[in-house]
Amino acid sequence: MSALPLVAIGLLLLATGLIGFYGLRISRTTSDFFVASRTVRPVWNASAISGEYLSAGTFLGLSGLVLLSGAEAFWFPVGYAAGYLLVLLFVAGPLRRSGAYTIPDFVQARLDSVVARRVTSVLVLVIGWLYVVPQLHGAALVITSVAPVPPWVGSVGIAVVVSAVVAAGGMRSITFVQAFQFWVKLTALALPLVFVLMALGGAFEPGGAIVTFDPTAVFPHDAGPGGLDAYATVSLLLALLLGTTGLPHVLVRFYTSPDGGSARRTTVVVLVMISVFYMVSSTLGLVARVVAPDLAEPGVADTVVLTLPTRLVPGLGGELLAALVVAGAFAAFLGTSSGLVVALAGVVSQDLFGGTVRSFRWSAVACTLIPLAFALVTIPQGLVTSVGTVFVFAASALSPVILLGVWWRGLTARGAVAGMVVGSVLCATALLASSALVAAGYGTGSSGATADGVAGVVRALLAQPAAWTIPLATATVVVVSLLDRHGPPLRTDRFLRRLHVPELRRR
Amino acid sequence: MSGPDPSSAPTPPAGRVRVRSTDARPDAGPPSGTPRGRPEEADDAAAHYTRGLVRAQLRLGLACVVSFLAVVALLTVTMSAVPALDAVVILGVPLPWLVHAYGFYPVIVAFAVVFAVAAARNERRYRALAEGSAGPAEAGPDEAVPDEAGAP
Repeated sequence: MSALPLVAIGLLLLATGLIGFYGLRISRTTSDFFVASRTVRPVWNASAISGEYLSAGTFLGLSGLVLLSGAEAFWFPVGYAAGYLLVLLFVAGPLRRSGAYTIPDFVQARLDSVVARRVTSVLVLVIGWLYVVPQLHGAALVITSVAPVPPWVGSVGIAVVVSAVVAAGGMRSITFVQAFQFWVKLTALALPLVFVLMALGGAFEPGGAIVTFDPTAVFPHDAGPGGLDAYATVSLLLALLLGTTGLPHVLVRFYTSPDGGSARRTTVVVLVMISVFYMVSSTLGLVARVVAPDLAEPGVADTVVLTLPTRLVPGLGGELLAALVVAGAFAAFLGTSSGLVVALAGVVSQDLFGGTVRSFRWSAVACTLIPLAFALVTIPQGLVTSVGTVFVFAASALSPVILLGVWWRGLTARGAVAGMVVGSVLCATALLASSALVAAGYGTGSSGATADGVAGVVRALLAQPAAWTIPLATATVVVVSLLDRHGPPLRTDRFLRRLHVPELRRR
Repeated sequence: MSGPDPSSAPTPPAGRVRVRSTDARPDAGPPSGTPRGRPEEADDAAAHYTRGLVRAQLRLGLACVVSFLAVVALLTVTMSAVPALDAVVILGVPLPWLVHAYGFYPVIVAFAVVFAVAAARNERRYRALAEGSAGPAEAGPDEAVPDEAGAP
């Protein structure tokens, strides 16, 4: 086994450490720690946002799922990007102007309720931890494919680096680290893709032989867009669209823009960046179907990106490219996990310890250890679907309250709490019941596909619950708010005006 | 204007902004129902323009999301329900697969750009109205959030 991938990981960690350390030297105040003093420029900030948004799910998982189940996998990146569009349309500017550090800060300021704040904090922590777990699983998967070590080495390694960098540098250094990691990730997929496509075009064959294959066999109609299931597609897209709004690490990023207008411009740049990345990653998925059909098995498919370069590009070149992909994968694990840990540590330290820098550091360590423990005792599922599940939960639990909090003055604390509880309980129940059914052999696999009638409908509703949990949660928020005799907080109008009125320009 | 107490934010030293958590902390700002400064009725015009701005931004957002979903639905139905497209194979990949893999991102980015431009225009219009009617001092009663005062 070549040592190149390990060298690549080492270089990535070294660069991350250096950039983190550089950030440490210039982050001194509390606000540097939490929001990088809100002076991060749009392009830097956009790179950083993209750097933390592109996780193991799309770096490894997307091409794995394209290989495994076909074109339906493309809905995930499309939904992630469209989710960012919704963030731009409804919350980017207003949330920046709210002046809050975290989602719970926003909810408390909007609703003037400590109870609503606490419920939000709990949900933010659950969502964040659930999101870190697939990153750690991805690290375990990659490390075993490049070195003869047990899987836990990868998870523990990522956890140690993340908690150290976050605790040392806070948000300011994380901004630089993530901006750097976005470009690592993009390069680590785009460069190998160029060589892989050249190889497919015959560049490395003496006779210029072009790979021949039967399009109808590699890209069958049923695995393509022609075979899509209407309910599952609509429900999944709804969850991905709304879920982004409820992710803790996405929202905290807007607080680092100088003003509402720049928060919007930043989001547009982010959309361009992540779209380019998703197209590159999708292309690798298409290539994987052509050249690596033997890897189309659950658990193995997610490693296909790592093996493509060595399969197609001969000699040292292929190995170097493979090492680059491994470094990019680790950048994905690090970028997303550290962004999440910053957001979560901000919540924990403000809720429990009054928001000091010291408590932020300890919270960062704690917020890495908990998902690590969870990752070590659970079995990795498909990476992209694990991440998708988090979106479903976030969309059901938090997104209705955030959106209504920005746009509906009638929202009350009781309505918000009721909606968050209903949304999260319904969604969690559905997902747990669905996985219990799968475990009991009633899965949606080959046997489940033929099931019909009531059982089939119930199974579909449980597997993709967003289409009914989000409306129910939203309805709960609205109905309870309207019935609430206390009405909305008295300063609602002033707070909403602050959200929507543009900042004064300095002249 | 909301919660945060502008006078409590220490004047930032040059080059670095110390931002305290603003309205979010329970101990910061006045308790609810005791608005600071003048009552809102004092600047009816500004309040009116603000409501107009909020409605305009919400309308814009909803219009964008509805038309975006319409385009997505159209694209989805086209690529999944027109069997003839399967016969169109480009570089070995059937057209529906290509549409699914690449076709949605240009749509998303186009809507993002349109929205960002239109939202900024709404805000410029609001500024012009508010400043024209009430003078610069009244224009954005509260937009001058303390933490922005020192941001470049």
